[in-house]
Amino acid sequence: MNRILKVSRLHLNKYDNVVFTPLGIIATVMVVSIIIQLAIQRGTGADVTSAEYIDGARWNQGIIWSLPGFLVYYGVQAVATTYPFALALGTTRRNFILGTMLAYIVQAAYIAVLLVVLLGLELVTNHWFMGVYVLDVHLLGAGNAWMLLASAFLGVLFCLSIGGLFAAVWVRFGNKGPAILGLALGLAVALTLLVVAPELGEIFAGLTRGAVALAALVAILVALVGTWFAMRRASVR
Amino acid sequence: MTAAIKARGLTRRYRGAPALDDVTLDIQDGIITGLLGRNGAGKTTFMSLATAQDRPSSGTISVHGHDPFERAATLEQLCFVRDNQRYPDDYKLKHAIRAASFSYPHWSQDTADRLIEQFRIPAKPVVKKFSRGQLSALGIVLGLASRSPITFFDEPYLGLDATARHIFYDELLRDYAEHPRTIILSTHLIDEMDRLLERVVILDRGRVVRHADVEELRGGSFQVAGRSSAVDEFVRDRPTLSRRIVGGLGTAVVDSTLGDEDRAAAASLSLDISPVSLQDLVAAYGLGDTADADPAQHAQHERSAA
Repeated sequence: MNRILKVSRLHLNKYDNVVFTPLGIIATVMVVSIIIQLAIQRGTGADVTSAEYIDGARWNQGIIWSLPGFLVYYGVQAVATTYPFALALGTTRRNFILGTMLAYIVQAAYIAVLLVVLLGLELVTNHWFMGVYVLDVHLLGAGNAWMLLASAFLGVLFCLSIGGLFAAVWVRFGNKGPAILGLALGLAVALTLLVVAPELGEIFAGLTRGAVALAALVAILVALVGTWFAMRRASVR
Repeated sequence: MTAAIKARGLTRRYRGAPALDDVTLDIQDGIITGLLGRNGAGKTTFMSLATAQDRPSSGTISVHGHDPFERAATLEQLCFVRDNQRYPDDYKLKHAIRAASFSYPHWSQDTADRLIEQFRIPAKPVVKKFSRGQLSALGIVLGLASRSPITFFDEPYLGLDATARHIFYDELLRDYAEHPRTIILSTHLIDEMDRLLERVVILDRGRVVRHADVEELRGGSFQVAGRSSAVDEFVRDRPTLSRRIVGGLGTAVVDSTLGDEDRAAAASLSLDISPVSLQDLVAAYGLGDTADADPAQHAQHERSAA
C-alpha cells in the first residue's frame, strides 16, 4: 500500500469516530430543530407554507454551529496523538503530513456528501413532513445542493485544518506554541477590525458566497502550509 | 559482523543539557544488544535518534548506511514503541493491532494473537485506561509481531509481573531464533535479561562507558571483598570501577581479567574474590562518581570506551 495512504488509513482506522460521530451530531441537531420548530409552530400557530415562516425557519443555524467543536477536536487529535504512533509505525514526517491532509479531505467529503443526501431527504419529504428546516437554510444555499456541498466541504476542511495547525504548533513548540499562535491570530483579527472598522458595514453588506469561500480556501491553505513547516522537523514528545 | 546502526559523535542537548554526549558507537547487525545504564543515561534518547523520532544536536547516525531522517525505506524497517508510547485518542486494542498490521511490512498476525492471549491484554477498555503492565504488554506485542529487521524495546518490562516478564523473554528468544534480526533493548533488570543479551552498551550521563560482548564483559572484571584497608591496598595499582566501604569492611570491582598474580595478592591480604554479575558491573559504572570511587580511572575508562 502506498505509504501516504497508510497514514490516511491510520486516521480513518477508528471507523465509528469517523463515520458515526458526525452522523450522531447531525441527528441530534435534527431532533432539536424539529422540537424547536414544532414548538414555534404550535406557539405561534404559524402557517408552515407561508413565505414569512419559511424565511424565518431558513435562518436555522444549528447544523453550522454543532459540528465545528468535534471537527476542530478531530483535527487536533489527528496530529497531536496520532503523530507519535505514526512514527512508531515507521512513517516519515512528510508522509504523515500528506496522509493527514488526505484524511482531512476524505472526512470533509464524507460529511459534505452526507449533508447533501440529508438535504435531498429534507426536500423529498417536504421538510420532514412538518415544515422543519434543518439543511434547507439560507447560510447553506437555501436548498441548493451544490452550494451546500461546497460550503460543507470547505467548512469541514477549515475546521480540521485549523485544529491540525494548532496541534502541529504544540507538537513542534510545546505548550507555549498554541498560546502564542492564538494570541497572534487574535491580535491580527483585532488589528484588521480596527483598520476596517469604518467600512465594516459596507464590507458585510457586500460579502458574497464566493468571497467567503475564497477566504476559507486561503485560510485552509495557510493552515496546511503552517502544519507542514511546523511538523517537518518536529520530535516526538 | 556488519553494523546495523552507526553513531559518530552523536550529541543531543535539551536546553543546553546533554542527554547524549559525543557518542561514537556501532550496533551490530543480527544480534540482541542491551542498552544499560541508570535513569537519564541516554538510552531512550539514543533509540529516538536511531529511529529519527528526534534529531541530533550534532554528530551523525546511520541505519544500514543511511541517515534514517525522512527516509521511508529505512524507517519502515524499524520498530520503536516507547515505554510511554502515546496512542490516538479512544484507541482500543483492536485499533492498535489493525494499524500495526497494515503499517509494518513484516507483521505476523499469528504472533500478535498468541501474545495477546498470553499477556491477557483486554479488548474492551481504551488503551488510555490500560494499566502500566498492559501498556508494556501492548508494546511488546507490537514490537515482536512487527518482525521489523531492527526492533527496539524501551524498558519493555515496566509494570509486568514475573510471569509476564518470563513470557516476554521466552517469546523474544523463540521469535528471534525463528526470525533472526537486530534487537536493541534498554533495561534495568539486567540479572533477568542477561541471558538474552549478546552485546551490551553501558551508558552513563549520555556517554558510552563500555561496549562489549557480554562474555567478554563478564570475564573482564572481578570483585574483591574484605577489610577496607586490605581492599585499598589491593586496588592501589589496579583499575577500579567502584569501591564501597561499610564500617571496616570494603568491596571493590576491579576492571581487569583475574590472573594468578591477583589471586596470590588477594590471598595474602585475606580478601575474597568473586565474579561480577552484569548487574553489579553496570552498578559499578553507575557508582563511578561516588566519593569512594576512583574518578581518575573512571574518566580514563570513559575516554577509552568513547
